[in-house]
Amino acid sequence: MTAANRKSGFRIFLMSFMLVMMNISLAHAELDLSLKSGTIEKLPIAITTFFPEGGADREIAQDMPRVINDNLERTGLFEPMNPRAFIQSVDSIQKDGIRFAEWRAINVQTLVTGVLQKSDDGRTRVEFRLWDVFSEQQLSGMAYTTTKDNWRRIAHIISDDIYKRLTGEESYFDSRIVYVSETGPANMRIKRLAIMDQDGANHNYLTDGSTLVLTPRFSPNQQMITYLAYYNNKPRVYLYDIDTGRQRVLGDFPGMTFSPRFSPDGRNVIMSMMRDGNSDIYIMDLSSKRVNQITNHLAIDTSPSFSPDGKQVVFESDRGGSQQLYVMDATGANPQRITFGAGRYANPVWSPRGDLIAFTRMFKGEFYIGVIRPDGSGERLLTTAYHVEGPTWSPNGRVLAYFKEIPVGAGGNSRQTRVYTVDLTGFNERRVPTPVDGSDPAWSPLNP
Amino acid sequence: MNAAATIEKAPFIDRDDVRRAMRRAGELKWGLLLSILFHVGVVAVGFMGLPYLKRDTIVIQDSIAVTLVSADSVSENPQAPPPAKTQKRPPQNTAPEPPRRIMPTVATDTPPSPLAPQRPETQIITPIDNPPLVAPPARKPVFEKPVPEEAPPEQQQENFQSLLRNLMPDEPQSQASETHDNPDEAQESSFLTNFQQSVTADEMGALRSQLSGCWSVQAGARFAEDLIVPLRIFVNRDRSVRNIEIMERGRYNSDTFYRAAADSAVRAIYRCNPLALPADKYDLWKTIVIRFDPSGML
Repeated sequence: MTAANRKSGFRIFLMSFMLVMMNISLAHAELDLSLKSGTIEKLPIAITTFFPEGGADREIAQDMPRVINDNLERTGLFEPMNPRAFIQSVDSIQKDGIRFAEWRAINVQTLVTGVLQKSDDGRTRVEFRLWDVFSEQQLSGMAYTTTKDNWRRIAHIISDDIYKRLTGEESYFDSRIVYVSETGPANMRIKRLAIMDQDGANHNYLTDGSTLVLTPRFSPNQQMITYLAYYNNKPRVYLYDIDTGRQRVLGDFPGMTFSPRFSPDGRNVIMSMMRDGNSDIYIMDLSSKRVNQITNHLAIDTSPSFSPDGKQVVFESDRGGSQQLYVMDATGANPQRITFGAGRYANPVWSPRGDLIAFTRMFKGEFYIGVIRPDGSGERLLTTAYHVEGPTWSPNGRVLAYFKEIPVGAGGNSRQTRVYTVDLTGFNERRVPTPVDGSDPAWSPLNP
Repeated sequence: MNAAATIEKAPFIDRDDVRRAMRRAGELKWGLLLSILFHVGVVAVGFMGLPYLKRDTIVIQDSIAVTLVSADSVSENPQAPPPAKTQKRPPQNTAPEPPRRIMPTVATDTPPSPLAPQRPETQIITPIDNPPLVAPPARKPVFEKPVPEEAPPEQQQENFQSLLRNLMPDEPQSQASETHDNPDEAQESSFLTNFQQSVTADEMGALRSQLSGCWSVQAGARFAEDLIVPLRIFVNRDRSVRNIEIMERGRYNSDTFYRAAADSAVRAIYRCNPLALPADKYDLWKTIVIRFDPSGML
């Protein structure tokens, strides 16, 4: 073979090699595409009635899905379908399994099914499953066994599980709200501490109304509530033990104490104390009863609230000339003003997820509930009214509860005070039902 | 005679002339036709440009649209998913997460005090027999590398290292594909695209707009800027979805926000099934990587 032949042979080989490689690469090419727009919409979910097996309570089998439905609907993130639109019956699901196509046909994306059983020891076993209607996969499944009377709590726990699975976020349904229930005319207002589930169910009074109560706050373990009560017309911070119903005054201080809150570990209470006509912030260790003064300023410092890591405190102060919000270290060092808007800022409360601080703002005779980042950026006002005040965070930091007072009756002489919630979008304001007027809500952490 | 000759000759000459004239006319006709065609072509090019080149220009401008990932680069990518990964989500991955708080037993039969809530006993229930919607995809032969029965020692070492590379997480793979914003990469990919038939910007736009309508995004989702979900979609010739692979499996199993976002992306694909793809370009879209990116929406 000549050199020229070898050369042309090599060329042919090289060319065919390149062609083969190119073919392979093109045959297995992947189309790659970025999708940056979708549809912002509520997630359509179908919640079927639960299937009662072997003497299980039929009423609960109907009521539990209703509670779950209401919980999810109130979030503003889900759109529970009207059960009348369902094609497949609950009996048929049990007998034949889920016919996903029939659920897709009514534009459902996720489906909740459940079974109620009576266990051998007389208790109730509730089993639920969450399904993805399109991929036909089970997304979650849990069974709970408890006494029959505890069914509402299970419904909340199931709601939490669904919420967390579909949003990725911690939930808040299995939690409670303590608030001040109000009755009677304005000059003879009877104020009682009351507690209820976050949806207003299981309502109970904690105090009898003989003393005026204000600003209740939960301890992190929910065993205690700290609040302000006027006993013998002297305002003092008290502790209420939920299990025993016992109340006791927190420390014996020379001046009046007010606006208490627990530290995130529950070991301390931070509050304001009035001394010689000036109010400063103090921290009290609940076990040693030792008290530390952390602000010392001629201006009024009050309404302190810890950051979730316990390292910082937000509070309101008029040291800058008007009532504004400040953030400082928990030792009292480095106070930094974070609000500079017109009007006055009050009731700051740090979100349990740490990213925001909620507050009440008063400006030109209107009240607002808003949020701001701890560094003072991103202020947003979520709701406004004649009088809205006292925001408190849901356990997951997505929703705020507060109270709203509006003039009612002839000439607007009397006032109606109600508890409301709004989520961080500001578009989803809901009333929390209370038997009578209510103010100063405080949202608990998730139930233990 | 002359006249006769003339008469006799004339038709011949005439016929000849006519024949010649016809021949010339025929030639002229072809020339004219060719000329007309050429001119029309030139004018058309003048108006519309060379269709192929113009399409390429769009691909370069809209370089996000198409990225061709060559098979050898995929197979040699240390982070390329092994074929087993391309199978339908195994049941254990869809198993429910453990409960947040578990109380061992609640034995009392007394009604619970509303002031001291009673925690129910909690138990995880496994999925019921749950056949997947679609059959798992066939193994992709390109990923299969025949392992020699007796490898020389140094090659064994190399094989072991390549195995280690294969066990590593997927990120570099996705990084490699995410570099389509880089102009050089875009040019390279568009060069490959030019070479063969391409999926046009219009066709990509049709798929995008179809998927946008199917993808429900919940308002106010947290950490939206980090929640880009790449899915690899295996498509049948009839444009129906054969299988969907969640490419960042590790994150899916560990991050609840990511898992919710990925499930929502998978739902979007199934909702849009069959996909709006050009019927004649199957080789180009039989596997598609779609990156669901909600960062600009929330």
